[in-house]
Amino acid sequence: MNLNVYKNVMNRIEIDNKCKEEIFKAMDNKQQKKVRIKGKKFLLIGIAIALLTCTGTAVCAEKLGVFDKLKENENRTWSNEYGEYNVDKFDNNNYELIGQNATDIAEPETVSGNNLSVSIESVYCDGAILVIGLSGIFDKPENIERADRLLFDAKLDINGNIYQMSKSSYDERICDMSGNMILDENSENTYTGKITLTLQPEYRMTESAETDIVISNIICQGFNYEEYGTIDDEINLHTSITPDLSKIKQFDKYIEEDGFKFAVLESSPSMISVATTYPEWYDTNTEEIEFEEGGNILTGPKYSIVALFYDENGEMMSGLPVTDLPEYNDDMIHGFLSSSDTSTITVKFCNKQNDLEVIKELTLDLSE
Amino acid sequence: MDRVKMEIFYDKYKNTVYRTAFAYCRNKTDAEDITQEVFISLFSGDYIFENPEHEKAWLIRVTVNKCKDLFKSFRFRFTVPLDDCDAVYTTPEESDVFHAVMELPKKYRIAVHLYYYEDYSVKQISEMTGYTETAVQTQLYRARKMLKEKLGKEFWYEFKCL
Repeated sequence: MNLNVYKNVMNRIEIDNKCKEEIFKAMDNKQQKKVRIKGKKFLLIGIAIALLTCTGTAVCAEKLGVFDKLKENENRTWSNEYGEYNVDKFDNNNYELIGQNATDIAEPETVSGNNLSVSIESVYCDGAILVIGLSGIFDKPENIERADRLLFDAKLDINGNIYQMSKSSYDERICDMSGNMILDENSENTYTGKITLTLQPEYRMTESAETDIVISNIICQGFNYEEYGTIDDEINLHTSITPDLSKIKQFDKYIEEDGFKFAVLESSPSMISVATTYPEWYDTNTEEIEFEEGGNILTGPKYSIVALFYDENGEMMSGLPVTDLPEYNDDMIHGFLSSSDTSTITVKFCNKQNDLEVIKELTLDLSE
Repeated sequence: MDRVKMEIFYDKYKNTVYRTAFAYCRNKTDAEDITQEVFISLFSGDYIFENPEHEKAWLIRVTVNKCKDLFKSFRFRFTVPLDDCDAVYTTPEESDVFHAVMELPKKYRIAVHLYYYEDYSVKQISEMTGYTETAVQTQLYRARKMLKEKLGKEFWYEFKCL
Protein backbone atom coordinates (compact mmCIF):
# COMPACT_ATOMS: atom_id res chain seq x y z
CA MET A 1 0.00 0.00 0.00
CA ASN A 2 1.46 3.42 -0.90
CA LEU A 3 0.54 6.81 -2.25
CA ASN A 4 0.37 5.57 -5.85
CA VAL A 5 -2.97 4.26 -4.70
CA TYR A 6 -4.02 7.85 -3.97
CA LYS A 7 -2.97 8.79 -7.49
CA ASN A 8 -5.05 6.00 -8.97
CA VAL A 9 -8.19 7.07 -7.14
CA MET A 10 -7.62 10.77 -7.90
CA ASN A 11 -7.11 9.99 -11.60
CA ARG A 12 -10.64 8.63 -11.73
CA ILE A 13 -12.20 11.81 -10.33
CA GLU A 14 -13.37 13.99 -13.21
CA ILE A 15 -15.20 17.27 -13.39
CA ASP A 16 -18.81 17.27 -14.53
CA ASN A 17 -19.38 18.56 -18.07
CA LYS A 18 -22.00 21.00 -16.82
CA CYS A 19 -19.18 23.13 -15.33
CA LYS A 20 -17.84 23.87 -18.78
CA GLU A 21 -21.26 25.10 -19.87
CA GLU A 22 -21.53 27.29 -16.77
CA ILE A 23 -18.10 28.84 -17.33
CA PHE A 24 -18.68 29.66 -20.97
CA LYS A 25 -22.17 30.95 -20.26
CA ALA A 26 -20.67 33.30 -17.65
CA MET A 27 -17.97 34.38 -20.09
CA ASP A 28 -20.54 35.09 -22.80
CA ASN A 29 -22.53 37.29 -20.39
CA LYS A 30 -19.36 39.05 -19.33
CA GLN A 31 -18.27 39.72 -22.90
CA GLN A 32 -21.67 41.19 -23.73
CA LYS A 33 -21.52 43.48 -20.71
CA LYS A 34 -17.99 44.54 -21.55
CA VAL A 35 -18.87 45.41 -25.11
CA ARG A 36 -21.77 47.54 -23.92
CA ILE A 37 -19.65 49.42 -21.40
CA LYS A 38 -16.76 49.83 -23.81
CA GLY A 39 -19.03 51.43 -26.37
CA LYS A 40 -20.22 54.00 -23.87
CA LYS A 41 -17.40 54.99 -21.66
CA PHE A 42 -14.61 52.50 -21.18
CA LEU A 43 -11.23 54.19 -21.24
CA LEU A 44 -7.88 52.78 -20.34
CA ILE A 45 -4.68 54.77 -20.42
CA GLY A 46 -1.29 54.58 -18.87
CA ILE A 47 0.07 57.38 -16.77
CA ALA A 48 3.70 57.71 -15.83
CA ILE A 49 4.45 58.82 -12.30
CA ALA A 50 7.99 59.50 -11.15
CA LEU A 51 9.55 57.43 -8.40
CA LEU A 52 8.43 58.98 -5.17
CA THR A 53 9.82 58.84 -1.68
CA CYS A 54 8.14 59.68 1.58
CA THR A 55 9.50 59.50 5.10
CA GLY A 56 7.91 60.01 8.48
CA THR A 57 8.28 59.13 12.15
CA ALA A 58 5.53 57.77 14.36
CA VAL A 59 4.69 59.81 17.45
CA CYS A 60 1.58 60.14 19.59
CA ALA A 61 -1.20 62.48 18.56
CA GLU A 62 -4.83 62.94 19.53
CA LYS A 63 -6.67 63.41 16.25
CA LEU A 64 -6.61 60.55 13.80
CA GLY A 65 -8.40 61.85 10.74
CA VAL A 66 -7.43 59.02 8.44
CA PHE A 67 -9.06 56.36 10.60
CA ASP A 68 -12.13 58.58 11.13
CA LYS A 69 -12.57 58.62 7.36
CA LEU A 70 -12.03 54.87 7.10
CA LYS A 71 -14.73 54.44 9.73
CA GLU A 72 -17.10 56.59 7.67
CA ASN A 73 -16.48 54.30 4.73
CA GLU A 74 -17.79 51.32 6.73
CA ASN A 75 -21.36 52.53 6.15
CA ARG A 76 -20.84 54.48 2.94
CA THR A 77 -22.60 53.15 -0.13
CA TRP A 78 -22.88 53.78 -3.85
CA SER A 79 -25.75 52.72 -6.02
CA ASN A 80 -26.59 51.88 -9.59
CA GLU A 81 -29.70 50.64 -11.33
CA TYR A 82 -29.30 47.21 -9.71
CA GLY A 83 -29.01 48.21 -6.08
CA GLU A 84 -26.96 49.77 -3.31
CA TYR A 85 -23.46 48.55 -2.43
CA ASN A 86 -20.85 49.32 0.20
CA VAL A 87 -17.86 51.20 -1.21
CA ASP A 88 -15.42 48.82 0.52
CA LYS A 89 -17.43 45.70 1.19
CA PHE A 90 -14.49 43.38 1.85
CA ASP A 91 -13.12 45.48 4.70
CA ASN A 92 -14.46 44.35 8.09
CA ASN A 93 -11.89 46.13 10.27
CA ASN A 94 -13.23 48.16 13.19
CA TYR A 95 -11.54 51.48 12.41
CA GLU A 96 -13.08 53.23 15.41
CA LEU A 97 -11.15 51.01 17.84
CA ILE A 98 -8.08 50.87 15.61
CA GLY A 99 -8.08 54.65 15.26
CA GLN A 100 -8.35 55.20 19.01
CA ASN A 101 -5.24 53.10 19.48
CA ALA A 102 -3.19 54.21 16.49
CA THR A 103 -0.14 56.42 16.43
CA ASP A 104 -0.24 59.50 14.28
CA ILE A 105 2.63 60.65 12.12
CA ALA A 106 3.58 64.06 13.52
CA GLU A 107 4.71 65.64 10.29
CA PRO A 108 3.83 63.29 7.49
CA GLU A 109 5.84 63.92 4.38
CA THR A 110 3.80 64.07 1.25
CA VAL A 111 5.14 62.47 -1.88
CA SER A 112 4.11 64.29 -5.04
CA GLY A 113 4.31 62.97 -8.55
CA ASN A 114 2.69 63.97 -11.82
CA ASN A 115 -0.86 63.75 -10.58
CA LEU A 116 -0.72 61.80 -7.35
CA SER A 117 0.60 62.50 -3.88
CA VAL A 118 0.55 60.06 -0.97
CA SER A 119 1.47 60.23 2.69
CA ILE A 120 1.38 57.92 5.71
CA GLU A 121 -0.88 59.61 8.21
CA SER A 122 -1.18 57.10 11.02
CA VAL A 123 -0.05 53.62 12.03
CA TYR A 124 -1.61 50.98 14.26
CA CYS A 125 0.52 48.02 15.33
CA ASP A 126 -0.06 45.59 18.19
CA GLY A 127 2.66 43.21 17.00
CA ALA A 128 0.20 40.80 15.38
CA ILE A 129 -1.69 43.17 13.08
CA LEU A 130 -0.35 46.24 11.32
CA VAL A 131 -2.63 48.89 9.81
CA ILE A 132 -1.07 51.78 7.89
CA GLY A 133 -3.42 54.71 7.27
CA LEU A 134 -2.79 56.59 4.01
CA SER A 135 -4.05 59.81 2.52
CA GLY A 136 -3.67 60.89 -1.06
CA ILE A 137 -4.49 63.50 -3.63
CA PHE A 138 -4.97 62.44 -7.23
CA ASP A 139 -5.77 65.06 -9.84
CA LYS A 140 -6.88 62.68 -12.49
CA PRO A 141 -6.36 63.69 -16.07
CA GLU A 142 -9.45 64.40 -18.16
CA ASN A 143 -9.11 61.17 -20.07
CA ILE A 144 -9.63 59.10 -16.89
CA GLU A 145 -13.35 59.19 -16.40
CA ARG A 146 -13.48 57.71 -12.90
CA ALA A 147 -11.08 56.89 -10.11
CA ASP A 148 -13.36 56.12 -7.15
CA ARG A 149 -11.00 53.47 -5.87
CA LEU A 150 -7.22 53.11 -6.30
CA LEU A 151 -6.01 49.51 -6.24
CA PHE A 152 -2.33 48.70 -6.05
CA ASP A 153 0.35 46.12 -5.46
CA ALA A 154 2.30 46.65 -2.25
CA LYS A 155 5.50 45.35 -0.75
CA LEU A 156 6.50 45.85 2.89
CA ASP A 157 10.03 45.33 4.14
CA ILE A 158 9.92 45.14 7.94
CA ASN A 159 13.40 44.65 9.29
CA GLY A 160 14.26 42.44 6.31
CA ASN A 161 11.05 40.39 6.34
CA ILE A 162 9.27 40.94 3.04
CA TYR A 163 5.48 40.84 2.68
CA GLN A 164 3.74 41.37 -0.64
CA MET A 165 0.23 41.61 -1.97
CA SER A 166 -1.19 41.88 -5.45
CA LYS A 167 -3.91 44.39 -6.15
CA SER A 168 -6.59 41.76 -6.48
CA SER A 169 -5.70 40.44 -3.03
CA TYR A 170 -7.98 37.57 -3.94
CA ASP A 171 -6.46 35.79 -6.93
CA GLU A 172 -2.79 35.87 -6.13
CA ARG A 173 -2.52 36.42 -2.45
CA ILE A 174 0.76 35.24 -0.99
CA CYS A 175 0.25 36.61 2.50
CA ASP A 176 -2.54 38.12 4.56
CA MET A 177 -2.16 41.65 3.37
CA SER A 178 -4.64 43.92 1.69
CA GLY A 179 -5.19 47.58 0.94
CA ASN A 180 -6.64 50.25 -1.29
CA MET A 181 -7.45 53.97 -1.37
CA ILE A 182 -10.97 55.32 -1.75
CA LEU A 183 -12.12 58.71 -2.96
CA ASP A 184 -13.40 60.77 -0.02
CA GLU A 185 -17.09 61.50 0.08
CA ASN A 186 -18.03 64.73 -1.70
CA SER A 187 -14.46 65.17 -2.89
CA GLU A 188 -13.08 65.40 -6.40
CA ASN A 189 -9.48 64.44 -5.66
CA THR A 190 -8.71 63.47 -2.03
CA TYR A 191 -8.36 59.81 -1.03
CA THR A 192 -8.11 57.82 2.19
CA GLY A 193 -6.69 54.34 2.31
CA LYS A 194 -4.91 51.67 4.25
CA ILE A 195 -2.60 48.72 4.05
CA THR A 196 -3.31 45.95 6.58
CA LEU A 197 -1.01 43.05 7.37
CA THR A 198 -1.66 40.08 9.66
CA LEU A 199 1.55 38.49 10.87
CA GLN A 200 2.00 34.80 11.57
CA PRO A 201 3.02 34.05 15.19
CA GLU A 202 6.67 33.48 14.30
CA TYR A 203 6.85 36.87 12.56
CA ARG A 204 5.01 38.95 15.13
CA MET A 205 6.77 42.24 15.81
CA THR A 206 8.22 42.70 19.26
CA GLU A 207 10.34 45.80 18.79
CA SER A 208 10.59 48.93 16.65
CA ALA A 209 11.28 48.38 12.99
CA GLU A 210 12.24 50.55 10.07
CA THR A 211 9.68 49.79 7.41
CA ASP A 212 9.87 50.40 3.67
CA ILE A 213 6.66 50.35 1.68
CA VAL A 214 6.51 50.15 -2.10
CA ILE A 215 3.19 50.84 -3.82
CA SER A 216 3.08 50.04 -7.52
CA ASN A 217 0.87 49.09 -10.48
CA ILE A 218 -1.90 51.43 -9.39
CA ILE A 219 -5.27 51.01 -11.08
CA CYS A 220 -8.05 53.58 -11.18
CA GLN A 221 -11.28 51.71 -10.59
CA GLY A 222 -14.85 52.93 -10.42
CA PHE A 223 -17.18 51.87 -7.63
CA ASN A 224 -18.79 49.84 -10.41
CA TYR A 225 -15.57 47.73 -10.50
CA GLU A 226 -14.71 48.86 -14.05
CA GLU A 227 -11.12 49.97 -14.64
CA TYR A 228 -10.61 53.43 -16.12
CA GLY A 229 -6.84 53.87 -16.17
CA THR A 230 -3.50 52.90 -14.69
CA ILE A 231 -0.59 54.56 -12.96
CA ASP A 232 2.51 52.66 -13.92
CA ASP A 233 5.32 53.84 -11.68
CA GLU A 234 5.90 53.06 -8.03
CA ILE A 235 5.79 55.03 -4.79
CA ASN A 236 8.37 54.40 -2.08
CA LEU A 237 7.36 55.22 1.47
CA HIS A 238 9.22 54.79 4.71
CA THR A 239 8.23 54.90 8.35
CA SER A 240 9.37 53.70 11.72
CA ILE A 241 6.90 51.39 13.47
CA THR A 242 6.80 50.63 17.18
CA PRO A 243 4.44 47.82 18.17
CA ASP A 244 2.42 48.24 21.36
CA LEU A 245 2.30 44.68 22.66
CA SER A 246 0.13 45.71 25.62
CA LYS A 247 -2.80 46.09 23.23
CA ILE A 248 -3.16 42.31 23.02
CA LYS A 249 -5.09 40.77 25.90
CA GLN A 250 -4.78 37.04 26.43
CA PHE A 251 -7.96 35.17 27.37
CA ASP A 252 -7.64 31.44 26.98
CA LYS A 253 -11.31 31.01 27.95
CA TYR A 254 -13.42 28.20 26.66
CA ILE A 255 -16.79 26.52 27.06
CA GLU A 256 -17.74 23.02 25.93
CA GLU A 257 -21.11 21.30 25.59
CA ASP A 258 -22.12 18.12 23.78
CA GLY A 259 -18.89 18.05 21.79
CA PHE A 260 -19.17 21.68 20.65
CA LYS A 261 -16.34 23.82 21.98
CA PHE A 262 -15.85 27.58 21.78
CA ALA A 263 -12.74 29.44 22.93
CA VAL A 264 -11.62 33.06 22.97
CA LEU A 265 -7.85 33.26 22.90
CA GLU A 266 -6.80 36.87 22.35
CA SER A 267 -8.33 40.27 21.84
CA SER A 268 -6.93 43.60 20.73
CA PRO A 269 -8.27 46.80 19.09
CA SER A 270 -7.70 45.08 15.74
CA MET A 271 -9.10 41.57 16.26
CA ILE A 272 -10.57 38.90 18.51
CA SER A 273 -9.00 35.49 18.10
CA VAL A 274 -11.50 32.64 18.55
CA ALA A 275 -11.59 28.91 17.99
CA THR A 276 -14.31 26.29 17.70
CA THR A 277 -14.61 22.51 17.62
CA TYR A 278 -17.46 20.48 16.23
CA PRO A 279 -18.52 17.16 17.75
CA GLU A 280 -17.23 13.91 16.33
CA TRP A 281 -20.67 12.87 15.08
CA TYR A 282 -20.58 15.76 12.61
CA ASP A 283 -17.44 14.47 10.92
CA THR A 284 -18.67 10.92 10.76
CA ASN A 285 -22.32 11.58 9.91
CA THR A 286 -23.27 10.24 6.50
CA GLU A 287 -26.98 11.09 6.46
CA GLU A 288 -28.23 12.79 3.32
CA ILE A 289 -31.20 14.94 2.40
CA GLU A 290 -32.84 15.84 -0.87
CA PHE A 291 -33.33 19.47 -1.87
CA GLU A 292 -34.39 21.41 -4.91
CA GLU A 293 -32.03 23.66 -6.83
CA GLY A 294 -32.81 25.19 -10.20
CA GLY A 295 -35.70 22.82 -10.74
CA ASN A 296 -33.57 19.75 -10.04
CA ILE A 297 -33.78 17.44 -7.06
CA LEU A 298 -30.29 17.08 -5.59
CA THR A 299 -28.92 15.20 -2.62
CA GLY A 300 -26.46 16.55 -0.09
CA PRO A 301 -25.26 16.04 3.47
CA LYS A 302 -27.93 16.50 6.12
CA TYR A 303 -25.64 18.72 8.17
CA SER A 304 -23.43 21.56 7.02
CA ILE A 305 -22.62 23.49 10.15
CA VAL A 306 -21.59 27.12 10.18
CA ALA A 307 -20.45 29.05 13.26
CA LEU A 308 -22.00 32.52 13.59
CA PHE A 309 -20.81 34.96 16.25
CA TYR A 310 -22.82 37.62 18.07
CA ASP A 311 -21.89 40.45 20.44
CA GLU A 312 -23.62 41.41 23.71
CA ASN A 313 -26.33 43.30 21.76
CA GLY A 314 -27.10 40.34 19.55
CA GLU A 315 -25.40 41.95 16.55
CA MET A 316 -23.58 39.55 14.27
CA MET A 317 -19.80 39.97 14.39
CA SER A 318 -17.79 39.98 11.17
CA GLY A 319 -14.91 37.68 10.45
CA LEU A 320 -11.61 39.13 9.27
CA PRO A 321 -10.46 37.69 5.96
CA VAL A 322 -7.36 36.04 7.34
CA THR A 323 -6.43 33.07 5.21
CA ASP A 324 -3.20 31.79 6.70
CA LEU A 325 -4.43 31.26 10.20
CA PRO A 326 -1.82 30.61 12.85
CA GLU A 327 -1.10 26.95 13.52
CA TYR A 328 -1.89 25.76 17.01
CA ASN A 329 -1.25 22.43 18.61
CA ASP A 330 -4.89 21.54 18.98
CA ASP A 331 -7.73 20.29 16.81
CA MET A 332 -9.75 23.50 16.96
CA ILE A 333 -10.73 25.70 14.03
CA HIS A 334 -9.19 29.14 14.51
CA GLY A 335 -10.24 32.47 13.13
CA PHE A 336 -10.24 36.22 13.69
CA LEU A 337 -13.31 38.33 14.33
CA SER A 338 -13.40 42.06 13.81
CA SER A 339 -12.50 43.85 17.04
CA SER A 340 -15.21 44.89 19.48
CA ASP A 341 -15.56 46.07 23.07
CA THR A 342 -18.38 43.63 23.72
CA SER A 343 -18.42 41.95 27.15
CA THR A 344 -19.77 38.64 25.84
CA ILE A 345 -19.52 36.63 22.64
CA THR A 346 -22.14 34.09 21.68
CA VAL A 347 -21.50 31.49 19.02
CA LYS A 348 -24.41 29.81 17.29
CA PHE A 349 -23.66 26.57 15.47
CA CYS A 350 -26.24 26.56 12.67
CA ASN A 351 -27.13 24.00 10.03
CA LYS A 352 -26.99 25.57 6.58
CA GLN A 353 -28.92 22.63 5.19
CA ASN A 354 -31.96 23.45 7.34
CA ASP A 355 -32.50 27.23 7.20
CA LEU A 356 -29.72 27.91 9.69
CA GLU A 357 -31.40 25.91 12.44
CA VAL A 358 -29.45 26.55 15.65
CA ILE A 359 -27.97 23.26 16.81
CA LYS A 360 -25.96 24.62 19.72
CA GLU A 361 -25.49 28.05 21.29
CA LEU A 362 -22.58 28.86 23.61
CA THR A 363 -21.74 32.16 25.32
CA LEU A 364 -18.47 33.29 26.86
CA ASP A 365 -18.27 36.20 29.30
CA LEU A 366 -15.15 38.22 28.57
CA SER A 367 -15.54 40.60 31.50
CA GLU A 368 -14.87 38.05 34.24
CA MET B 1 -8.78 35.39 -25.05
CA ASP B 2 -10.82 33.92 -27.90
CA ARG B 3 -13.27 31.05 -27.50
CA VAL B 4 -11.06 28.44 -29.18
CA LYS B 5 -8.13 29.26 -26.91
CA MET B 6 -10.40 29.15 -23.88
CA GLU B 7 -11.65 25.70 -24.86
CA ILE B 8 -8.08 24.43 -25.29
CA PHE B 9 -7.08 25.83 -21.89
CA TYR B 10 -10.15 24.37 -20.22
CA ASP B 11 -9.76 20.89 -21.66
CA LYS B 12 -6.08 20.84 -20.83
CA TYR B 13 -6.35 21.90 -17.20
CA LYS B 14 -9.92 21.22 -16.07
CA ASN B 15 -9.03 18.11 -14.08
CA THR B 16 -5.84 19.56 -12.62
CA VAL B 17 -7.82 22.48 -11.22
CA TYR B 18 -10.80 20.35 -10.17
CA ARG B 19 -8.70 17.69 -8.46
CA THR B 20 -6.64 20.29 -6.60
CA ALA B 21 -9.84 21.98 -5.43
CA PHE B 22 -11.34 18.62 -4.48
CA ALA B 23 -8.22 17.73 -2.48
CA TYR B 24 -8.66 20.96 -0.52
CA CYS B 25 -12.46 21.19 -0.19
CA ARG B 26 -13.21 17.45 -0.08
CA ASN B 27 -16.54 17.90 -1.80
CA LYS B 28 -17.77 18.05 -5.35
CA THR B 29 -19.95 21.15 -5.14
CA ASP B 30 -17.28 23.46 -3.72
CA ALA B 31 -14.63 22.00 -6.05
CA GLU B 32 -16.86 22.73 -9.04
CA ASP B 33 -17.51 26.28 -7.84
CA ILE B 34 -13.79 26.89 -7.36
CA THR B 35 -13.02 25.45 -10.79
CA GLN B 36 -15.53 27.78 -12.39
CA GLU B 37 -14.10 30.80 -10.57
CA VAL B 38 -10.53 29.91 -11.54
CA PHE B 39 -11.29 29.60 -15.23
CA ILE B 40 -13.43 32.74 -15.25
CA SER B 41 -10.49 34.60 -13.64
CA LEU B 42 -8.16 33.19 -16.26
CA PHE B 43 -10.41 34.00 -19.18
CA SER B 44 -11.21 37.49 -17.88
CA GLY B 45 -7.60 38.63 -17.57
CA ASP B 46 -4.90 39.26 -20.13
CA TYR B 47 -2.42 36.85 -18.65
CA ILE B 48 0.76 36.02 -20.50
CA PHE B 49 2.48 32.79 -19.54
CA GLU B 50 6.11 32.04 -20.26
CA ASN B 51 5.51 28.32 -20.85
CA PRO B 52 3.05 25.49 -20.04
CA GLU B 53 4.67 24.90 -16.64
CA HIS B 54 4.10 28.55 -15.74
CA GLU B 55 0.43 28.47 -16.78
CA LYS B 56 -0.20 25.25 -14.85
CA ALA B 57 1.56 26.60 -11.74
CA TRP B 58 -0.47 29.83 -12.00
CA LEU B 59 -3.72 27.90 -12.20
CA ILE B 60 -2.83 25.78 -9.18
CA ARG B 61 -1.81 28.85 -7.18
CA VAL B 62 -5.07 30.62 -8.00
CA THR B 63 -7.00 27.44 -7.16
CA VAL B 64 -5.33 27.14 -3.76
CA ASN B 65 -5.98 30.81 -3.02
CA LYS B 66 -9.63 30.53 -3.98
CA CYS B 67 -9.94 27.46 -1.76
CA LYS B 68 -8.40 29.43 1.11
CA ASP B 69 -10.83 32.27 0.42
CA LEU B 70 -13.70 29.84 0.66
CA PHE B 71 -12.67 28.81 4.13
CA LYS B 72 -11.49 32.18 5.36
CA SER B 73 -14.77 33.45 6.73
CA PHE B 74 -16.45 32.24 9.85
CA ARG B 75 -19.68 32.72 7.99
CA PHE B 76 -18.73 29.75 5.87
CA ARG B 77 -18.78 26.19 7.03
CA PHE B 78 -15.49 24.94 8.34
CA THR B 79 -15.82 21.21 8.54
CA VAL B 80 -17.13 19.44 5.51
CA PRO B 81 -17.56 15.68 5.54
CA LEU B 82 -15.79 13.95 2.65
CA ASP B 83 -18.10 13.73 -0.31
CA ASP B 84 -16.46 10.92 -2.24
CA CYS B 85 -19.35 10.19 -4.58
CA ASP B 86 -16.98 10.75 -7.50
CA ALA B 87 -14.29 8.47 -6.18
CA VAL B 88 -14.15 4.94 -7.51
CA TYR B 89 -12.25 2.34 -5.52
CA THR B 90 -11.15 -0.95 -7.01
CA THR B 91 -9.66 -2.32 -3.80
CA PRO B 92 -10.19 -1.76 -0.05
CA GLU B 93 -6.63 -0.37 0.09
CA GLU B 94 -7.56 2.37 -2.35
CA SER B 95 -10.46 3.42 -0.15
CA ASP B 96 -8.29 3.33 2.99
CA VAL B 97 -5.47 5.43 1.53
CA PHE B 98 -7.74 7.95 -0.15
CA HIS B 99 -9.79 8.45 3.00
CA ALA B 100 -6.64 8.73 5.12
CA VAL B 101 -5.30 11.51 2.89
CA MET B 102 -8.67 13.25 2.80
CA GLU B 103 -8.86 13.18 6.59
CA LEU B 104 -5.59 15.10 6.93
CA PRO B 105 -5.88 18.79 7.90
CA LYS B 106 -6.35 20.83 4.73
CA LYS B 107 -2.88 22.39 4.77
CA TYR B 108 -1.28 18.96 4.89
CA ARG B 109 -3.73 17.57 2.37
CA ILE B 110 -2.90 20.15 -0.27
CA ALA B 111 0.85 19.70 0.34
CA VAL B 112 0.51 15.94 -0.11
CA HIS B 113 -1.61 16.38 -3.23
CA LEU B 114 0.82 18.78 -4.89
CA TYR B 115 3.90 16.77 -3.86
CA TYR B 116 2.74 13.22 -4.55
CA TYR B 117 0.04 13.72 -7.17
CA GLU B 118 1.29 16.70 -9.16
CA ASP B 119 4.97 15.87 -8.48
CA TYR B 120 5.93 19.40 -7.51
CA SER B 121 9.00 20.11 -5.40
CA VAL B 122 8.85 21.65 -1.93
CA LYS B 123 10.12 24.92 -3.41
CA GLN B 124 7.41 24.96 -6.09
CA ILE B 125 4.71 24.14 -3.53
CA SER B 126 6.01 26.97 -1.38
CA GLU B 127 5.63 29.38 -4.30
CA MET B 128 2.13 28.14 -5.08
CA THR B 129 0.71 28.10 -1.57
CA GLY B 130 2.52 31.08 -0.07
CA TYR B 131 3.93 28.99 2.78
CA THR B 132 7.67 29.00 3.40
CA GLU B 133 9.69 25.99 2.24
CA THR B 134 10.25 25.05 5.86
CA ALA B 135 6.50 25.16 6.50
CA VAL B 136 5.82 22.92 3.48
CA GLN B 137 8.47 20.45 4.66
CA THR B 138 6.86 20.45 8.09
CA GLN B 139 3.42 19.93 6.57
CA LEU B 140 4.68 16.95 4.56
CA TYR B 141 6.50 15.53 7.59
CA ARG B 142 3.40 15.79 9.78
CA ALA B 143 1.20 14.41 7.02
CA ARG B 144 3.47 11.35 6.62
CA LYS B 145 3.46 10.85 10.37
CA MET B 146 -0.35 10.98 10.52
CA LEU B 147 -0.67 8.66 7.53
CA LYS B 148 1.71 6.23 9.15
CA GLU B 149 -0.39 6.26 12.32
CA LYS B 150 -3.57 5.68 10.33
CA LEU B 151 -2.33 3.18 7.79
CA GLY B 152 0.34 1.34 9.70
CA LYS B 153 3.99 0.47 9.28
CA GLU B 154 3.45 -1.36 6.05
CA PHE B 155 2.28 1.82 4.42
CA TRP B 156 5.17 3.77 5.93
CA TYR B 157 7.74 1.36 4.49
CA GLU B 158 6.29 1.62 1.00
CA PHE B 159 5.82 5.34 1.40
CA LYS B 160 9.50 5.92 2.15
CA CYS B 161 10.42 4.02 -0.98
CA LEU B 162 8.51 6.41 -3.23
